[in-house]
Amino acid sequence: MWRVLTSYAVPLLGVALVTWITSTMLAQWGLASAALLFLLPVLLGAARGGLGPGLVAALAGAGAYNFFLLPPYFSFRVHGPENAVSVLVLVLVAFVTSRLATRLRAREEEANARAAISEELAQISRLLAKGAPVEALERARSYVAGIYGPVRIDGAQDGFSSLDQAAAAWAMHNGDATGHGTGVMAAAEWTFLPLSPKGRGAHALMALARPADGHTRPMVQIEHMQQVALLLGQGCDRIALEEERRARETLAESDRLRRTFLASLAHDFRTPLTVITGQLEALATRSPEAGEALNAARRLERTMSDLIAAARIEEGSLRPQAESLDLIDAADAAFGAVAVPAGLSLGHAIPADLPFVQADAVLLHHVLINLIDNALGHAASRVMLGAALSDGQVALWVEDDGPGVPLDQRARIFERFARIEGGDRAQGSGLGLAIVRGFAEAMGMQVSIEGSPLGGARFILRMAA
Amino acid sequence: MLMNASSTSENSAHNPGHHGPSSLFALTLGAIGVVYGDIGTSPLYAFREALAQTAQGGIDRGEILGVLALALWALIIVVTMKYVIFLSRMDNHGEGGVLSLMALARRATGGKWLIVLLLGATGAALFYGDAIITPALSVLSAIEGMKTVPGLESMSEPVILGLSLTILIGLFALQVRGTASVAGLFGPVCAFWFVAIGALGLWHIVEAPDVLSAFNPMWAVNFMLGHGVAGLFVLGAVFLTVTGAEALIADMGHFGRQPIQLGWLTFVWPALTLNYLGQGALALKALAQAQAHGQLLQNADWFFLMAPDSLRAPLVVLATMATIIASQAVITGAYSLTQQAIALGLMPRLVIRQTSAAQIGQIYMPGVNWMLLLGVICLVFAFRSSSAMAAAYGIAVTGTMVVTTCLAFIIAWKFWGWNPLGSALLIAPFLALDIFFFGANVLRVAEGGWVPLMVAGIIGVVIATWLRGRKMALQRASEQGVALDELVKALTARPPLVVEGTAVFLTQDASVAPSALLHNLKHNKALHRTNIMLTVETQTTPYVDPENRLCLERLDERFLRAKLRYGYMDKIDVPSDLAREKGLLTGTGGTSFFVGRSAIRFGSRPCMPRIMVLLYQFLHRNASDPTAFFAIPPNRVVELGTQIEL
Repeated sequence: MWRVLTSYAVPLLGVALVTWITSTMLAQWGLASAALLFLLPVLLGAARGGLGPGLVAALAGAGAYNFFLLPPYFSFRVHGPENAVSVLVLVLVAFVTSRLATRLRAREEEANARAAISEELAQISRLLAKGAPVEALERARSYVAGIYGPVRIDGAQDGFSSLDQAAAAWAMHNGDATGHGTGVMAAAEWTFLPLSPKGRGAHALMALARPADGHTRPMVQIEHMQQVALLLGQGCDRIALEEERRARETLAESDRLRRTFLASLAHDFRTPLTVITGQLEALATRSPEAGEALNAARRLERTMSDLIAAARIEEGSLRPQAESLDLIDAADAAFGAVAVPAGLSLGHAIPADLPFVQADAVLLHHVLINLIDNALGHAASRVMLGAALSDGQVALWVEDDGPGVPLDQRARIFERFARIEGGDRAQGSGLGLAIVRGFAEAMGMQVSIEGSPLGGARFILRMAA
Repeated sequence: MLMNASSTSENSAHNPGHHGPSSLFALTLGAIGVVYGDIGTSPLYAFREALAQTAQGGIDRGEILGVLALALWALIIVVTMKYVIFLSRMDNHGEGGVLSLMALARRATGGKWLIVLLLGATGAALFYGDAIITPALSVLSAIEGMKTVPGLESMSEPVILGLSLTILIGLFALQVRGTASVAGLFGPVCAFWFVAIGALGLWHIVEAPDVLSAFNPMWAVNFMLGHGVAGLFVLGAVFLTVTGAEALIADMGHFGRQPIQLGWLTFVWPALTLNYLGQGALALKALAQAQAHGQLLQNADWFFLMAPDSLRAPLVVLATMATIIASQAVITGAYSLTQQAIALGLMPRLVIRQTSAAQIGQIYMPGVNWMLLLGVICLVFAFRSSSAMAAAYGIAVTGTMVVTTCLAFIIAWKFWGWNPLGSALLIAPFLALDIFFFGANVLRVAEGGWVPLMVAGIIGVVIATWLRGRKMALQRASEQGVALDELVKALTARPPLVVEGTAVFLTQDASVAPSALLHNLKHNKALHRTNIMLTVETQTTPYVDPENRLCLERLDERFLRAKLRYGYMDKIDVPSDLAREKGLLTGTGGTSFFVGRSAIRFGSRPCMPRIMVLLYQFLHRNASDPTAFFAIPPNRVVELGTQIEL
């Protein structure tokens, strides 16, 4: 108010001053220079206060010039067109000067506003980068809320009217800014701004309350807030990234723990088991009742060696040694190590003219035992081994006439602890096939599964001849 | 007074009903700047023109006092009694003006009376004539005042016309920026204007107090009896004193009744009366001088001559400012009348722009603006002087007044529930006076009265074509369409592929399946999860509360019929008002709006004259985009074309 008053008063004082000076000096200076002097207060008023003060100064100056300096003195009588011209010139000067001054001031204000906005964005970025992401986001949010009023980025819907909720749904789906101050559902009480650039699926939102004084938020501010929302969106992304990293770390840690546990478990069980098996073998020669216990102990022992093998595969400490092996010998050795349950038959049809294969004897033995054991667990009446040479590779297979493995389960059957759903009479550890794959891959063999002509499953090992 | 309570007590927040003294003062000052600009600049030419009609063979005392008495009593009867006291009580929930009265009368008569629609359309059509003459006439008469400034007597006609046109073109060109930034100055400038003209009048009355006898109506009666047909011509010109009275009720929605009545009774009316009396006193003095020299008294520009030589130049500047403000009020009035006419379905949609984000109701209509400017320029070049133009002015204003009075009769009878005989008795004197004035102005049709009649005729044809064309198009569409209920049943029996999301179909007849829906089924072979058939209706009340706008009817789990009802002054925002219903637009999959865009073709069985179809085709094609009108964001709109044969 005071500024407005002075902006009018100062040029008017200037007019009075010029009038006084020119009217006393009129005789010496002449009318033309006096008229020119009246431009000064107009320039002053228009440059400082804008159009209003400039025009007031121009009209007052024209009036004073007419009243005090033009004959007849002390009257507003207009003499002729030249008086009108002097008024016109003063008014024109007021217009042009005020326009120039206003434009200059507008440009300055624009630059200031832009500087303030970029400073604000920089401050938000600083807040977001500092400290733990969740707290940083909250600090940035409350900084924005401190300037623009209530801001929510939690995605909760409480406290929103159905109109606000619809505006939020719209923004979420389309990635447009909606609600108060925008072109979409302007009647809403909140403004909703997407936290991510448009066109990336569903959008998380920032909700900005309508100004408390009841004014409409101007379009420029909404555009600025959209930038702020994108910055806060980056903060949210940072939190998500952090959470993902932490989840991955936890997973790796638990895996490591499990492996250590497995290894020590296997090791601690093995020594007492060896003692038990040895004693039972001695007993079995004397009393046939101990045979069953011996079988159980052996199965337990094999499970333990499976566990150890699994642990070794996991650790990556497996170093297979390549020797030339005859597959018929390997099959015979494996047959000797498994107990065939009653009612099942086990045999092989390996051609005698097969070349020797390159493999680690111990590991191949283990692989075969596990495959046969698995097949015996599912077979209806028999399990067969077979082998063939094709494309310079030897394929060795174990097949049974059991129910087979459904197509959709074949991929995951080699995973650890994988069990086929449904009626399963095998009581294996679930590690067997995983160990088969682990050992086979360690020796450079591929293992796969397909349907067998016998009706059950056929596990195939392909190895270099 | 017998008055239906609903007309006053329902004034909602839009109309300031109760206000403290300071806000009443502010509103009154604002009203002085907007409402009284037109009537307040009439002294520039009204008295001069009235005397000019009887100036042949010199002007005598009886003529001066007779014309003056006619002017004073016109202000008393037409403005004070009819408008300020009587018609201002006839508000449509606070809103006044000829279209508001029409809407009120339609509601009162159940919308069945054709005469009501006809009256409203006539009033609106005549207003446009008024809206081009007022700026041209008032600005021209103010600039002509420069000729009375000593030293500038030699100003030629081209200079005056050029200066007036510069001001008028500038005024229209600035409309696009809105008036919010300078509107605050209107009140004070006009208040100063009224003080100045009142003071000038008072000064001359003191010098010739015998002019006060003009308050005696016998002067008017004697004058009319003594002058025959010439008296009627004078009467037509005297009517110029009350031009702009229509604005008193048209702007009631902005300021409220009380400030308008207060401003007139305590401020504007006294100032105008003093000024006219002052002009009369000046004429009487001039008459005495002329008689002393044995000459006949010639007519002169009495208004500007009232000011002493030294103040005449400032008075011309002040008069120019006042006329610019008056012209601004008329232009704004033309926008808001057009907006109402569009909302009430009388005219095709035109582009409406908000000029101020903060203030609702500050609008700019480019089409109306440039048509008005074209009319104003034609008028200035065709008539070249305010005296010639004055002949054209009266007929537009008297025509509107006749319409207003007729509507007032229907409202008093049907809405207030008065006895038809009683209301006829009350209205008859006013109507008789209006028709008398109208008749007096009809005498001047050849002199220029044909201009507003022609403008009104053109607007009238546009309104008639639009009303009839829309009715026929709707009828054709429903003849060709499929009933919605049947379609819904068929779709329930054999459901097509259902996609996520909500589809809103804008339609005019909710009982017929919109063609956009049929197209969607036929070409996209899909149906949205939720389908809303939406009709948007404009009520005869100015405002409808946002909570009461939506009417929903569920047809089955997929289909809803929705109706949005807006007042004719409401800002339409379809997405917001649909969203107010819980859960309607919050579903997954987003919302799409389907709009049928119909092209008009000549039919094999024409239902209206070819030329009307052609005009309707033109209006229909140039009507502005409906989606912008309904505030639907363009990136969520699917437009599907159809053809309608008329």
